[in-house]
Amino acid sequence: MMRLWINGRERPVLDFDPNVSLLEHIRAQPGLTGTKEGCASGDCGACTVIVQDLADPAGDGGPGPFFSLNSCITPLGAMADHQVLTVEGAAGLGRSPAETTRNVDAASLHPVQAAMVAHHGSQCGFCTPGFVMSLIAHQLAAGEGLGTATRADFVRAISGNLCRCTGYRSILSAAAAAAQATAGGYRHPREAVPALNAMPAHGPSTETVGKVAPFHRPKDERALRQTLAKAAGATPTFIAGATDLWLEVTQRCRQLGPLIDLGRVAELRGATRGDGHIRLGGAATQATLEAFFGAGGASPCPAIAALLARFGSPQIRHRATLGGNIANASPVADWPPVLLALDAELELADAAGQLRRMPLREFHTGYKETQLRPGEYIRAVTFADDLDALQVFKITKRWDDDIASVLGAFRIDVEDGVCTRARVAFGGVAATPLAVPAVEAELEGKPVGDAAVDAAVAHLRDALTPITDVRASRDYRLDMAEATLRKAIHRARTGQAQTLAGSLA
Amino acid sequence: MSDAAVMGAPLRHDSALGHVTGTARYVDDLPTPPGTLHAAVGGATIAHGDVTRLDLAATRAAPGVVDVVTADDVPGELDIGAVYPGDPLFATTVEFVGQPLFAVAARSLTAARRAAGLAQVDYRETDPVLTVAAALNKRRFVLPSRTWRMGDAAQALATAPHRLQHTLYVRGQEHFYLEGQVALAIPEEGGAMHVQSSTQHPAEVQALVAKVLDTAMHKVRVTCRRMGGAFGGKESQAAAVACIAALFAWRLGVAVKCRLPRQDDMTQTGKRHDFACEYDVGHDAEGLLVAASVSLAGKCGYSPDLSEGIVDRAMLHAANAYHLPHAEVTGHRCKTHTVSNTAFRGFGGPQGMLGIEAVLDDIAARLGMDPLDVRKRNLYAPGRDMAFYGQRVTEHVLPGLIDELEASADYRRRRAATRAFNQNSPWLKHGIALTPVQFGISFTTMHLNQAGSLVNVYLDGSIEVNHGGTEMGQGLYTKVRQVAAEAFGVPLSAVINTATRTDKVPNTTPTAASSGADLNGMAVRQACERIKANLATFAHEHLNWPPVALRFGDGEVAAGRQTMPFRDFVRAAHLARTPLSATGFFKTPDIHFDKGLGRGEPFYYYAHGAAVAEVLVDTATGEYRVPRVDILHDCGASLNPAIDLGQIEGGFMQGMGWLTSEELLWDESGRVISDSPANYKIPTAHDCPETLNVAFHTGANPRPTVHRSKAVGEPPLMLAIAVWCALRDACFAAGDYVHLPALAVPATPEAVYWAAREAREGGGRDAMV
Repeated sequence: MMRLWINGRERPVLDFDPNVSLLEHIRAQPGLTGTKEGCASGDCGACTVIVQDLADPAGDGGPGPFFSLNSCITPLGAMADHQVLTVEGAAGLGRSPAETTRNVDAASLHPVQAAMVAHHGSQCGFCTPGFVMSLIAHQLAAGEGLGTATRADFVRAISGNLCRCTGYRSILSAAAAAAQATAGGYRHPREAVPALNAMPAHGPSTETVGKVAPFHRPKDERALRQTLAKAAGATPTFIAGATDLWLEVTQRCRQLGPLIDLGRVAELRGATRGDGHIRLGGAATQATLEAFFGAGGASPCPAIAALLARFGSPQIRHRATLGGNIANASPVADWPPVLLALDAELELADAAGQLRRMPLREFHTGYKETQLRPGEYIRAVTFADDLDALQVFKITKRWDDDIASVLGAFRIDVEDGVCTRARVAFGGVAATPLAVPAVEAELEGKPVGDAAVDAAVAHLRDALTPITDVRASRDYRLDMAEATLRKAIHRARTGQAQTLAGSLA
Repeated sequence: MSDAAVMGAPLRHDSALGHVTGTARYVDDLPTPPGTLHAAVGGATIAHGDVTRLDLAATRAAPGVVDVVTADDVPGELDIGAVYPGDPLFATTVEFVGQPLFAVAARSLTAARRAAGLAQVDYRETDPVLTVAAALNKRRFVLPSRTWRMGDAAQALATAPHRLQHTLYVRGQEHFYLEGQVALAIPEEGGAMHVQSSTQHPAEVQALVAKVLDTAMHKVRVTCRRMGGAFGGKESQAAAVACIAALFAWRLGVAVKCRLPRQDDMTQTGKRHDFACEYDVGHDAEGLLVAASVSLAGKCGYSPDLSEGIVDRAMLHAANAYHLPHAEVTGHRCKTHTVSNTAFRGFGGPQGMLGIEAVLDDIAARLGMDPLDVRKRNLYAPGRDMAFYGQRVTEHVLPGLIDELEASADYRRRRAATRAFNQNSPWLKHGIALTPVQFGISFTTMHLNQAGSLVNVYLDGSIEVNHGGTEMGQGLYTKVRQVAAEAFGVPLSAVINTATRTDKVPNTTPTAASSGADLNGMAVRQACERIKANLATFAHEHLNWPPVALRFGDGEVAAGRQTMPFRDFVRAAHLARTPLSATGFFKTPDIHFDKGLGRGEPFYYYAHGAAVAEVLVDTATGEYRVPRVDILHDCGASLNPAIDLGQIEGGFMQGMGWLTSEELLWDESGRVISDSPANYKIPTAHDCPETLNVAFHTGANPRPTVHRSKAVGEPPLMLAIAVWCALRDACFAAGDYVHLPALAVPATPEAVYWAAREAREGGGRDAMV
């Protein structure tokens, strides 16, 4: 049996199916159809709910933070021992079907819901539950700082929610009004959500859910190794955030076999800085990294923080992991070019606890191919604590929540007009994320005049093999690789960003 | 609540509380009868050819499967074409990738989808026609081409002081309604069928289900309480899933739901038409148009669907708000082996308008003028008021509206500032543009301009209204409730608008062409007036009230010094055996149009608006922002300014998506490759201009519409043309305003990059078609 709380009430999962998503499970509960399926691929946000791990390994086994996610691509098994808040619960409804068929009492609305009504933030209403939940999640995360939230904060909070009717202005107005209402009416935004205030009783973390096709949830590496040892022979599938893998289930109707969730393994989730190095856990979520590299974080880095603000959406960042972004081996993933430019190393581990280290430059061997052996996982990513020169450019069709056409990451140092170090890496220009040593060599140790830049660019074009696809043409990708390199060199030379929107640094 | 407080008040959406709490139900949320099955559709994997073998043995044997149907299993008519035949429910000859070949009913949607994937299909492939260019070259059309003429365009072009040509390929648009196509069919006794359908056209779904099942229309009842967005995409396209659900329900005697997963929806249902536009224009030294020859070739896909009217409307808007003394406008309806394109907010109008705006920018660039001056010079005006299709433009809103917007948006000063900034900025370039919209209101298919209603007054004074219009988020139910509340002088809360149903108001037309409030508001008002006439007779005959008109207001009925609470009054009327229920009917007067000749008065009136857009472009990458947009729009006397503001803002942003980030792409085999929200990018909140000033142009509709309001659903979409023109202006700046480059549609960052490069290099690059 899997333990699960929805809207403050325990609703144990009796017939666990490892291929069911949280969304399907919620919508199958009588009266809980407010959470919508718009795409089943984590792109539209209509299915957004707020969850909390009640036995969070990273929180000493106690309750973790509240965060939003896309319930459509969240495996139900990953939500064992969690409490879930849906749009009905935000208004204190949803404990019984009758509550959701009666006239809604406007006085019971959460300030976000009330503001969405007052500011005409819904038209067809199908996306509305997702916007409500994203804005409440933002309020919970902002905490006592909610009163000073800006329009940019609200834009970011709803960047993973698509609305086809309103054009967003009314929703942004509602968000601002709701923030003022909550900040003015409660000591902490959490008090505005009564369903979250009665802390459910919880036991220890559930290690395994299901029997026929089990869903393993090791809470530390020791448990992980034991699980792997027991599974010897049958190779289980690793999942972490499942933000890409679960599309195999929702889009291609695949039935996944035994799964091992790396997402809760405590040792893999952190990020640390010390001794001149930075070490990022393989299962660190993008949200964790956003905090780590953000202003006020342990290792502030504007270039990475700006990139992470555009990595998927808040819902995706709460689930997606660093290791997943690397191991997935997509040529257009956001992290690999950045880590290539940082000369990052991977720490890989297997069932026996055997470790091996490998430069990221050797890891990706072909389209969707890596050096990972069966049963091996990315334990950590490490690199020197030397981020000042990092510049990142992500070129997309749409600014927020889009996959890069080209992503350029650079570390170029210029002293007295001479390039002392050049690191040049791209996504979207080859079958793998690509560092370009020929360009690095062309630049390093030479005066960075126009002729040197032109020579480097010539090497660049020879090294790239982009394709034309739905995101961009081959020619545009080549030109963007060149344009971002030129921008990076210009800034390294002059200290001036030559961009409107393209520079993230 | 007094009349004035209801009509014209910024009242919240009818379902706002349900929306924000998740308790507003859509078809997929309705409780289903026990044993309800789920249907999945199996689609073709080639663009064109015959199916030589359809082996469904593995599909039938798959876990959970209950039934499988193909074209052979349809008892009635296989064709579900909306206007003309050509749309088989299941194909045997394939005409697009994804075309339904069969359907599976199973105990879960996942089981049905998995089973559908097990089909073995062999084809004898035939070369497909995949592009407008290929269709034009081979003269492949779904319906005959039309040419409409005014004056002698050829002669006027030959003698024009200046002449220019402009070609523009305008890509289509995916509706991306958040709720995909869905229907739930529930069999009832006596061979009857109840279909809960997410549709803009319940009566057509009813007719087609009856045809497919070979039964009478009175046996089929279609209900639609609300849609999770539609935008034209559920006018004809909702029928297939409804027919499939009903077919299974009829065969099996159990309820069946058919809901398309997003990728199936994006592959199997029609979209906005691509158009290849060619303009040959003559003008004088002041930029005044003297003649135009225009060719508009729509990519209709494999069947006619609604393309006759869509290409007609593109043609009717080929001059937008501008007078053409001599014109020759040709419309082609190109047949391609792609999904059949369909209605989408604007219905061809946006594609027709975009070209002439590009041409006016060309003229301004050639003459070194501000494009706004060229636009103003060419507006319809007294004496220059005959549209090329024979309708005299009598309401000259735009000259004053544009002047007002030019001042309120500080257009001239900001344009000068833009030029000054660009002179000193090698890569970052500002652009600015002001463009108008003049959109004709009425269905160009005359018989669609009718509506019916049913109004019931109950003995407690509560009122139910019902009509043929459907609620897709546009606030129609809210506006219609306002009409009834005003008519009876009761608070809005006394009136509900129940779900649209074919057995309450029959033989209705689609909720489309921005006509919902105009038509259904009037039909409901008429029903209310009929009940009020009954009540007046009652008051005179039974209450001995003076023979003066009854006054309905503040929840009371009054005549002279007599007054009675509405609730008591209707109860007394009932005891005196007075009918408290009435139907209403409305048809738009004064319109007529000969489609063959292109002559008549197709539009009851025009809706107007204009927008100023400012953009900032990084010409080194093509990335851009739209920091500020100012809109002035004409809603007549708005029925509900809150709802109309939402239509203006939402329509504008949807149009901006069409012209900027939403790129519909097909591969060489005819498969749509922008088939999910991961690769088809509608705007997000970040794309909403940080400064978005929207104001209403004041003025009542000279036509006697309900509350003297104007239709507002479609026209604001075309305000976004200002963004596209501003982006082109910024690209123009990249070459110091020497060469105005071509700019693709949509103007993605890549397209903007190429345009800026063309401007800088002064040359051309082949447009991607």
